Amino acid sequence: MLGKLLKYEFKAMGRTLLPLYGALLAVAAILGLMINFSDAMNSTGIVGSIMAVLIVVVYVVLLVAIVVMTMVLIVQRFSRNLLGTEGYFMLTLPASIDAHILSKTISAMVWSLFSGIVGMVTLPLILLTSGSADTNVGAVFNEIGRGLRMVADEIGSGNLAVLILEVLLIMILTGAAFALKVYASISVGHQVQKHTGLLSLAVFIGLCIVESVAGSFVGVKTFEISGNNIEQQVVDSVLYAQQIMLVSIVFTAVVAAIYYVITRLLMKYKLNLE
Amino acid sequence: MAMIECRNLTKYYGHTRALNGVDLTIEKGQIVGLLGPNGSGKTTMIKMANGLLQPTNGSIIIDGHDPGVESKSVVAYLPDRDFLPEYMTVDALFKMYGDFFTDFNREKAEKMLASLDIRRDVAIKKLSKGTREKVQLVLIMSRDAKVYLLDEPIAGVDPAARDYILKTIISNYCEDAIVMISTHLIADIESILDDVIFLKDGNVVVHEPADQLREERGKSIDGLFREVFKC
Repeated sequence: MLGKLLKYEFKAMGRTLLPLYGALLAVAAILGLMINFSDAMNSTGIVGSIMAVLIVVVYVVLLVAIVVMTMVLIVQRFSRNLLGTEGYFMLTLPASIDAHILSKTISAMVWSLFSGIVGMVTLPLILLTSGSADTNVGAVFNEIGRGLRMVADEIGSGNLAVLILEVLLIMILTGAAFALKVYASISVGHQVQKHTGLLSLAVFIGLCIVESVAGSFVGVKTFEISGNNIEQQVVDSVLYAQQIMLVSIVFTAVVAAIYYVITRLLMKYKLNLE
Repeated sequence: MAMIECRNLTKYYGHTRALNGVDLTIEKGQIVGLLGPNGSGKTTMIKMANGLLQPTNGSIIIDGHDPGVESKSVVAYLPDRDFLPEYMTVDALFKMYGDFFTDFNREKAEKMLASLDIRRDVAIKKLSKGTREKVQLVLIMSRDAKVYLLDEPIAGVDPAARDYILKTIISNYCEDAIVMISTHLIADIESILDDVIFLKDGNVVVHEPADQLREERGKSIDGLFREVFKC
């Protein structure tokens, strides 16, 4: 059942996001081409300049639109699909509430990742079509490679691999925690008849604040506990970094779990579909 | 074992009482009319049977289960409103139903659709209200469920289509299943009812077999309804 729910979740978000991705990539390519033919563009005078500005504006607008739409969809896939009209279908499916929450969380995380990747890909794409590709893109990758090799030499490639994995894990957990925070806020808002949106927003902001404060507190405590050996940290910065990473991972995982539990309990025992 | 059982089922919306300690047992193999005026608690009861609302007190049990994953796999629910993603075509909806419900009979659905002369490649938001309701009914009645809960299945449909829908209902449910029809259009459906429940202000005021009721009271269910619920 989780698989089937995931399939339809992906499709539902993809319906809106894929066309936007396509548009952004197309505009990025065009932008690059315009840079490529900028001499020709200049010769067309004012029309050429206006077109250039327009394309840049469209590019930025699409970039922003993708970020905004990704977040809007994450909210809508929960508030409308589960607690709105479509809830009369979704919540009568023979699926556990866990399956529903998980499918939406996973879809939210994956599409957030896609949106990020598409955004990042536009830069090399612009470089590519602008004709300065071979030198620039190649150079960038070389630099990145060199930087990584330097770090690997410093701390050992095994440690680098672990570090990269930890960073990925934190990114995944942060994505999950964000989506679950949205769902928890919406679930709380659902408990009232009027001003549900307002309450959801207030809860979301409140959770962000509490998370921040708790995070700072944990950070300070970690520093205190491991901070006594300043010399040791300097000497063994890898260990120190890994301690911080570990604490971050555990903290984010706990936060995500709390939001999951809030959502699950409210959706399972306090559901009142209008 | 009763297929549907309500035990002291109570629901308050704030201070408003929608259901008042309802006790009810409904055996399988019947077409049951859940009848009452607007606001009598019919939709509330049906939503609770589907796990979409939580009782304030008491419980409702479907096929021996509290509303949950097990009960949802044997209950086919037709809400009294639009509930499907409106951008989906009828074809896509058939596919989705087949994906989620193992008891969905696609051939049956396509046959019903063909006899209603409805196109499969049109998004349902482009269909008229009546046509949309017919599609929804086709989806629900093509499932081989143990319990069909139909909330106002004929309210938005023209009289000719109503006949078709009622015929579809009686010819498509299997003997062991319950079909519960909640409606206030009594005259249209009374001929197909086996069992009759009158719901008034959240209380069950009548629960008898249809024939027995007609004989006892010497009038049609529709006539009795007008009497019981006189304004």
